[in-house]
Amino acid sequence: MIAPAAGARRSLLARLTALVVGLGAVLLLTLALAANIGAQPIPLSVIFESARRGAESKLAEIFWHLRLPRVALGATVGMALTVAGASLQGLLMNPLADPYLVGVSAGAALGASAAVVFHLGVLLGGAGKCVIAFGSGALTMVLVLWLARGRRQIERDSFILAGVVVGSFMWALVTLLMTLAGQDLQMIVFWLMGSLYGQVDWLVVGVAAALVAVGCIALYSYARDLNLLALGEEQARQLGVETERLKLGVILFSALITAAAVSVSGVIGFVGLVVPHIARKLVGPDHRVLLPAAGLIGAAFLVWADTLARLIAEIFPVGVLTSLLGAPFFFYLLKRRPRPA
Amino acid sequence: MLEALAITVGYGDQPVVQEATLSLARGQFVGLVGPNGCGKSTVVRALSRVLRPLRGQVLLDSVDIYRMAPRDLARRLAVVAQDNTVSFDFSVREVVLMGRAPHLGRFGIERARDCDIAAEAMELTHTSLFAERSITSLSGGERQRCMIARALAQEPEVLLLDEPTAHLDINHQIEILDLARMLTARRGLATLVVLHDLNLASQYCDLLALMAEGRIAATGSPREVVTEEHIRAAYRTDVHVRMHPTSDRPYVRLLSRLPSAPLATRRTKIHLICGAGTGVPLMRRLRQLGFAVSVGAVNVADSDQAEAEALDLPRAEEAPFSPVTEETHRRNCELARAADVVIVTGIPFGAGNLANLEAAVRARGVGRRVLLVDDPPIAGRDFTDGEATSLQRQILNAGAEVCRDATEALARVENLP
Repeated sequence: MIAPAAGARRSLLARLTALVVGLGAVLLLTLALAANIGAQPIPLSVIFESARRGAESKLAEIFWHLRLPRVALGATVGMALTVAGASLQGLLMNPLADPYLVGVSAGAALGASAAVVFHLGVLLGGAGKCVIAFGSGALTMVLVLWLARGRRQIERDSFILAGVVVGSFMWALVTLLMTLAGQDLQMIVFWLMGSLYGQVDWLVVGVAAALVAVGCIALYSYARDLNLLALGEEQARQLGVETERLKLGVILFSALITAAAVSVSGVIGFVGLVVPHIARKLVGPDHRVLLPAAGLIGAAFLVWADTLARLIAEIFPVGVLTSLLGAPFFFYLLKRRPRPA
Repeated sequence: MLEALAITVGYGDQPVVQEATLSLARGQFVGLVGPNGCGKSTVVRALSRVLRPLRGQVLLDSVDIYRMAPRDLARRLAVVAQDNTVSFDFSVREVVLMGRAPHLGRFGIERARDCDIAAEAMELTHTSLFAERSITSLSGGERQRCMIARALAQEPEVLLLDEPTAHLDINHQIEILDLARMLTARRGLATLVVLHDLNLASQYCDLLALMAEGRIAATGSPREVVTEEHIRAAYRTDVHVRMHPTSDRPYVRLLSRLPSAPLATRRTKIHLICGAGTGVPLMRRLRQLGFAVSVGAVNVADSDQAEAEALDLPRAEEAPFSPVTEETHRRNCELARAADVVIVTGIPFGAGNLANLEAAVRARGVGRRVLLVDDPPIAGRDFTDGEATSLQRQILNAGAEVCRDATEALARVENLP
């Protein structure tokens, strides 16, 4: 029995390494290629030139201040949504769970719509809309948590219900704001469809990326506990998991990175729901492998989707594209036979 | 090792378990039995740090488990739950390795030693064969064995099994309990197993605790706990408790509350001389046909006796595994004389039950119709150096009828009034 045991050991570490190296390389290549592709192709020589001697040409300007931040933001948002989705699916043991279930997106949408209607976007050096969206998303999550908290513990079913109910309420308010928006209606609708257009400030990208990085590392620390939770909450506790801390931690950090993503990109649908399923089909259910795999796939996926959107039209909402691309792929995965042993 | 001291446990403020005291020592295999809803699983929850008792303490080697870190407890105490659904399709090996989690740090990955321990647990539970299969593809018994392997991978000192045999076929029930017993002995575990089958509990456990309505109603050896009085009090049901002839442990026979057999609708009375289970096929059938049936010279704990008792038939009864005494023989003869027809089944005869044939001789002597079921033929079941054979010949010479088998005997009496 020693040989297969050694094999199993090697396989987890080896799988993790192979995965991070392989998918990491894919992501880097994606970033490089995607930043290059666009209405205006940018020769590599121009980039190298400007990297050595500082930006001077128009093309270098586009690359450093338009393409690269947008691509980096796409990767950040894609990673955030998929890691949050995979974590919440694991926590709630519900295949339909996605980052927006928590009500964060609705809350952020309300904040963003309010910012548009009341012209608060100009605050904080133009980052006002993002900050308000992030704040209202986070507040909504606190409200959902407070509603879902039973006598002593978070009931997962009431959590889902509370998320749905609070979400509907917030969406109603968003709709109300839309009727009041007048000329600004188009801006709200555009935001709701989800897009990476127009958020190309390096500071915004940097803050979002930092939040997402912190959140993803925190969520990864719960990876094994999420595995144990698959045995049932009681069994997980009997295996030493502090389930209340786990639930609170996963919800908080998923909400954090979701809010960070939503506040800069609007509501990009489908990525957080389906990419985790795709990743699970590819690498299996072990969250220690699944979370990094889902994150990297999600990042690359969203960058490609956004690049495609850019090619169609500079302001084409990537959220529309993700759903158009992802849903059929998911059907295909559903119909294929399950993961081989 | 593990002690519950007067624990009162409940959900909210509603106590489900009242003042339960239990203790579990190394190497002991203790059963917790009781009717549905009496609080057995609640006790397991309290003992495994899932549900804090409202009052009382749970001590593991004199330390309150609710003051221990959950991971520290999980290294010493493992639980196999009743419900074993797993949400994602982890492989069996992955699930068993989860038992190592309490031994690893937050970002820790299983090392060679952890994998060896898991592999050994899979060997012991015979789950290595399907180690790479998905846990969701296994049958109930296989999954239960995986969960036991996972518990063993925790390297616990205390093992709590909550209804490990629920929903399993008898072959799997035996397999699981044999495994749990063997592990208890081999690893020196302290094992508590919740069972709802009293006979399984009696057969497998060193000690039993019987719960009723949230309280521990009795504790002790199976012989002390599985008694008709205790069961009547706990389950509000009358049963018969007998000692099992080979295991020498009590076993419970259920009694139907419905009238045990249709009433006699015919005048003819039939006395059935049987033993060693040879009368079972005839007894119920004759009763169903509406005959008044009596049964002769059967030993207590013999299946013929059990059947006669279940059908509530008049009978001549002897102590278990004892030769027929003079008194029982007399009663047997009285019952035969009171009947119109005497049927003698294909009993294996030894010195101890030859009196059964003598009773038949006497019944024939006073003019009763006697049917001898010669199945199997007498030569094969005569362990009396020919004495039984000559008695049978004597009865036949006196005008008894011989039948090839029970069916023929039934055919000969079924038209009697």
